[in-house]
Amino acid sequence: MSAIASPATFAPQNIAVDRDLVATALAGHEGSFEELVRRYQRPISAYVYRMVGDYDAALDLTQEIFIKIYGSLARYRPEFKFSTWIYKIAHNCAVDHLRRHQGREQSLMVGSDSDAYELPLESGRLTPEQESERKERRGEIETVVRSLPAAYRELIILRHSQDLTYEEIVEVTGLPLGTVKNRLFRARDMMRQQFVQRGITSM
Amino acid sequence: MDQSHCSTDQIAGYLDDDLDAAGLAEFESHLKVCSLCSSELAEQQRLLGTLSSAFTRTSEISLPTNFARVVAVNAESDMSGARTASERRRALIWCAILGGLSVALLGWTARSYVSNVVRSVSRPIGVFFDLSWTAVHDAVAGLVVVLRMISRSMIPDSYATAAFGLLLLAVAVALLSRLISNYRRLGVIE
Repeated sequence: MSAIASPATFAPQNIAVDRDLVATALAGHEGSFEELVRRYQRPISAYVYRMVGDYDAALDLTQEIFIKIYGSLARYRPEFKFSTWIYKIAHNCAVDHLRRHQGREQSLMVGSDSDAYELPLESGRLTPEQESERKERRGEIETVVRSLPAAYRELIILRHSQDLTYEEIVEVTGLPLGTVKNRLFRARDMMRQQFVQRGITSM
Repeated sequence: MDQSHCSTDQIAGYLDDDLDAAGLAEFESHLKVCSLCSSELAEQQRLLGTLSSAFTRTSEISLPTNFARVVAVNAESDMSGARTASERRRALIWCAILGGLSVALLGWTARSYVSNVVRSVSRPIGVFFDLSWTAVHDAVAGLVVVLRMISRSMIPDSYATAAFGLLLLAVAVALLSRLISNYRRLGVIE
C-alpha cells in the first residue's frame, strides 16, 4: 500500500503511479480504484469541506465525487495530470451542490463567529493548551475563509490549501488566467482586511 | 518605475514566483525605494504565511477508517457508473437473458400449479361456449325449417298459375315505374 498523498506530493512519480492505477482499474483489477480513493480522499474531502462548510455534506459529496470519477475513468486522458482531472470533477460537484443549496450558501457568505463550527481535525503533536489556542485561531481563519464569496473562496482553497498552480486552477475552474490572478488578489485583500479587524497577525 | 507603484499583478507575481528575470529585477529595485510597495508586500507575505500555516495544520479532515473501501465498493456496484455505451448495452442484454431465464425456471417449477389454474379457468369457459354454440345452432335450424315451409307454400301448383303470377308481377313493375316517373315530373314542374 502506497503512502497517502497530500496536495503537496503530486510529484512526477506520483503522477506515474496514478496513471498505472487508472489503467489497472480500467482493466478490472480489484483494489486499484480503492487505492486511488485512498491517495486522494484527504485532499478532496478537505477541499469539499471548505467549499460546503458542513462535515456530513462533505463526506457525502466526497463519496459522490469518487463515484463520478469511477464512472468517468474511461474518459480520463493520461496526458493530463490525474490530480487536476479529479479536482475538476470535484469543482463541478461542489459548484452543483452550492447551487442546489443557494440559501445556505448565502448564510455562509455573511458568516460570523456566532455560526462558526469546530473543525473535525486529526490530533496533532501540540500540548493541550497550545492546541486549544491554535484551534481557536484556526477557527477564526476558517471563518474568514468561509465569509468569502464562493467564487473567491474556491480560488483561495485551491491555491493556498491544495497548493495548485495557477495553470492547474485555470484547468480546474475553466476561468481565464487573468481572472484567476485578479480574483485571488482581491480575495487576499478581503481576507487581510478581516484579519486586521479581528486582530489576527499570525498563527 | 521608481516613481510609480507596482501593479497588483506584479506583487502577486512576486509572491507566487511568477515573474520573469527582468520583471523580478525591476520589482526588487523598485522595492528598495518605495516604502508603500514594501509594506504592501510585507502585509501580503504575512497574510500568506498565516494562511499557509493555518491550512497546513488543517489540511485534512478526519474520515471514517474504512472510507476508501466503502467508496470503492459503492462506486464499483453503481450501475450508473457503467463506463461505456457498449458496457451498458451488454449489461441490459444480460439482464434481459437472466430475467427471461428466471421467468422460465419459475414457470417450470410451478407448472403443475399453473396447469391446475388453467384447467379450472378453461372448464367454465368451455361450457359457456358449448352452450352458446348449441343455442345458435338450434335457432338457425328452426329458422331454416320456417323458411322452407314459407317457400314451399309460395310454389305454384301449375304452369298456368305461374304464368299468371309472372304477368301480374310484370304489370306491377311497369305501373310502379310509370308512377315514379310521373311523380318526378310533377316535382320538377312545382
